[in-house]
Order: sequence, then C-alpha cells, then structure tokens
Amino acid sequence: MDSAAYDRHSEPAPFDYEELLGRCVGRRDLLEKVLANFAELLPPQLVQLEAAIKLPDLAKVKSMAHRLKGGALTISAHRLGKCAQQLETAAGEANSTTIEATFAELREECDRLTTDVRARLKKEK
Amino acid sequence: MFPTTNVYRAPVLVVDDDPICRDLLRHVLETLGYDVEVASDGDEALDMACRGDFRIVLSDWQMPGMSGVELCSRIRGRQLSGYVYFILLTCLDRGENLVAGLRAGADDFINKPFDPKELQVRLRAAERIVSLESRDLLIFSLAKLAEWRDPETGAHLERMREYSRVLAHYLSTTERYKGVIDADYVRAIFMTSPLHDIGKVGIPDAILLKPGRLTPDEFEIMKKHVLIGSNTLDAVLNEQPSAEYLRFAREIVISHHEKYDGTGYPYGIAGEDIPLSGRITAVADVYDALTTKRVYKDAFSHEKARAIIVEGSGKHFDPDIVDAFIECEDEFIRIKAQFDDVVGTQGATGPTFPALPEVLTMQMQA
Repeated sequence: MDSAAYDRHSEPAPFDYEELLGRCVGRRDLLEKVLANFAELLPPQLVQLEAAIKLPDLAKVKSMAHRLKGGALTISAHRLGKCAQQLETAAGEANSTTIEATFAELREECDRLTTDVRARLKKEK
Repeated sequence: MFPTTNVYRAPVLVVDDDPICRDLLRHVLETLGYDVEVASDGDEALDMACRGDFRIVLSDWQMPGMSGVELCSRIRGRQLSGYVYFILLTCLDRGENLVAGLRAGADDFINKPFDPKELQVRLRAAERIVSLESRDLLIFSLAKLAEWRDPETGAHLERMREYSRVLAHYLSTTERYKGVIDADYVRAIFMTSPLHDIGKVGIPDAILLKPGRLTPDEFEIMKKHVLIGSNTLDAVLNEQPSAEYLRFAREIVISHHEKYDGTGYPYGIAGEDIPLSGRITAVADVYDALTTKRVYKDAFSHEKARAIIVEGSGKHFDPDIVDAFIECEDEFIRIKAQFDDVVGTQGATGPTFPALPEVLTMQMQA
C-alpha cells in the first residue's frame, strides 16, 4: 500500500497507488486524470444516493451502490468498494438498518478518500 | 512492457455506464495501440455496432437499460457482415451467470476491475479470431477478380451472397433443415458463394462478352465454366485437403446450375442429389440475374422475378428453397434496395458489358 498524503492512525491508505498505477499501464498522467474524475463525480453521487435512501428507492440505491463499487474498485479503493458492495447487498435485501449504517461508513470513507486524492493531486502539481 | 506498435488493430468499442471505468479502459487501450470508441449504454452501443465499424466489443455486464448480455444477443441477432468478437466485463462477486453470457454469444469474459496485462492477452486472442476473416476477404477478392471480365451489374456478388445467407439462415430455423444448417453453414455460404462463377475466367471473350444470344455451340462452351471452376478448386484442395471451406465452395461452383428436375448442367442430377448449397445459390443467382439490368433486357420487377421463381418451383428450383424465398422476400427487396443505393451513391455501375447469366439466356430462349 502507498499513499503519500495519508499517514495516520496506521489505517490502510484509501486506495492502492501502485495497483492503480499498474492499471494505468504506468502512466502517472492517466492515474491523476482518473483520480480527479473520480473525486469530481463522487459528491453528486453521494447526494443522489442519500436522496434515494431517504425516499426510499431501494432499486436506485442498489444500482447506484453498484456503480460506485465499480468506480471504487477501478481506482483500487478497496475499502470504499467493500462499503459500496455491502450497501448494494443491503439494498437488495431491503435491510434499512444496514443501509443506514453502511451509508454512514461509506460517506466517511469517501471523505477520507477525497481528502487523500486532493492532497495527492495538489502535491503532483 | 506494454509496447505500442504500428500494426493494424481492429477497432474496439468500449461500453460501460460507469464513466471512470469507461474512460480508463479507453485510455489504456489507446496506450496499447488500439483505436477505441466508447458508448455509455447498450442502445448507443448497438447503434454504433450496427454501423459495422467495430470488430471487438468490450462491454460491462450490468448496465441500466440494455444489459451487456442483451447487447451481445442483439448484435448477434443483427447478423452484421463482419464477425464481432464480444467480451463481457464481469464482477465475479455478483455470481453472474456465465452460461447466460455464452448463450447470448459472448466470446470471452474479463473480471472487473480489469488487469491490463490480462486485457492485452485477451484482446490478442480476439484479434486472432477476427483476423481469420482476412481469409474471407481474400476469397472475395478472388471472386471479384474473376468477375472483372464479366462484371454483370454493379454488386452482383455482394447481393448474391446476401441472398444466399438470408435463405440459409431462414432454412436453419425450419424443422426440416435446423439439423442440417447451423451458423457455420450460414457463414460458409456467405463467404464462398461469390466464387460460384469463378470458372468464367476460362471462357473466351467472344462468348463471355457476346451481346446477343448464344448459339448452341457457344452455350456448350459457356456451360464449361462450372467444370473449369471446380477443377481449379480441386487443384487447390489437393494441396490443402483440410480446407473445408474450399470444398464447400467447390460444391457451389459445380452444382449451382443443376436443376431440381434434372435438366440442368453439368451432370443433370436432380432433387436432393444436388447439394443443398447449390440449390440455395441457384435461387439467389437467378433472382439477382432477373432483377438487374442487362444489355438485352431491363431489370425485372421483384414481382415478375418472384413469379418466375415460383413458376420454377419443383422444376428449376427446390420447392423448399422457393418457399424460403417467399418467406424472406422482404429481405430480398431490402438487400436489392441497399445495393442499388450504394451503386447510386457511387454514381456508376461500371462498364455495362454484355453480361451473360446463362440462366437468363435460357429463360429468354424458352
């Protein structure tokens, strides 16, 4: 694991830099572009997800969680991917208690990831 | 590690509703040297694929609206003229039913998140499959070369192979022929039917290009084109006995002028002694001859050609194939219009040599 900007509480970095670099065929410029796109798309996704949970529109929650999981795993954000997977499963099972708890965890992980990504992108500049 | 080469790469269509994965795939594939276009859903992808520009499709499985499996099935159903290699991106944790993907016609699967090394290896396999079609192009080139001396009208070979494909495909759905004609047979008849008159290269210009009616002696010489063609392919088959597609082509060459009632040539065989491929291509060839203009006749309407073919059922033509023709006549009309449009767009049909589809000569002499 590697994350230049993230070094606290011995927690794993929010995404696996080396793994993502490998997926970007070694192109740092591409890695930065992918991270920037992900960070930009994340906030509106969370707003829509929260709105779907409040309704509740479980089909939409499941669909959005699935998409978020795909994006998270693509950038090697494994913990976020796992949270999104749990949310997708909970939505499929209509388990509202788990949905609420998992969404809180997911949002916290998104904050952690966004902070780390922004710091990294700033440093790269 | 990921060398970029200048060799030709089949264009790839990437389909994914997730913009992160879609964009990353596009950039990675471009880095690997592929031409890439992207679609964000199944409908957009189907529309792009139907333009026929893509030989490899890499699609997410689960998408809103049309899923990757449905997209695959729809692409297969459209019978695009070139084979499209279809790869589905799957999430193993979802337990997606790979059998459903295979049934839809998927060629391969790649797990998400993708590993670029695996992606590269699998795309190479896809390219190997797609490149097999270069063989088809060579066959068609050979047929076009043979046609050069006897250009008939515009896109005769293109139309005829489409008519043959349509007939074979329809027959494959019928109770009687579904065990005889499969997808491979349909592909084979599409690929090899343009060779049906390849033996005309051995017919003297004075006969091949004669604007008027052939004398009986001249007609006897003209009839030899089926033997010249089959002998040529026999020679190639002796060198390459395993080339089944050439054996199939030879069957068409030698039998497409036989008639169901045994009055055709070269052997005068009848009924089901005539290979099925010959019985199918006979209808395709005659329909095109009837509906296109020659120096000695205008193009017959579809209705007139239809009447002639129906009249020939059980005499010239296998009744089963005529029935298939009737069932598929809308497709015939569409194909003819499609190639008429192409010729019209190009502004010319090439030199109007006195083409001589001998079946027409016989029709007119009768």
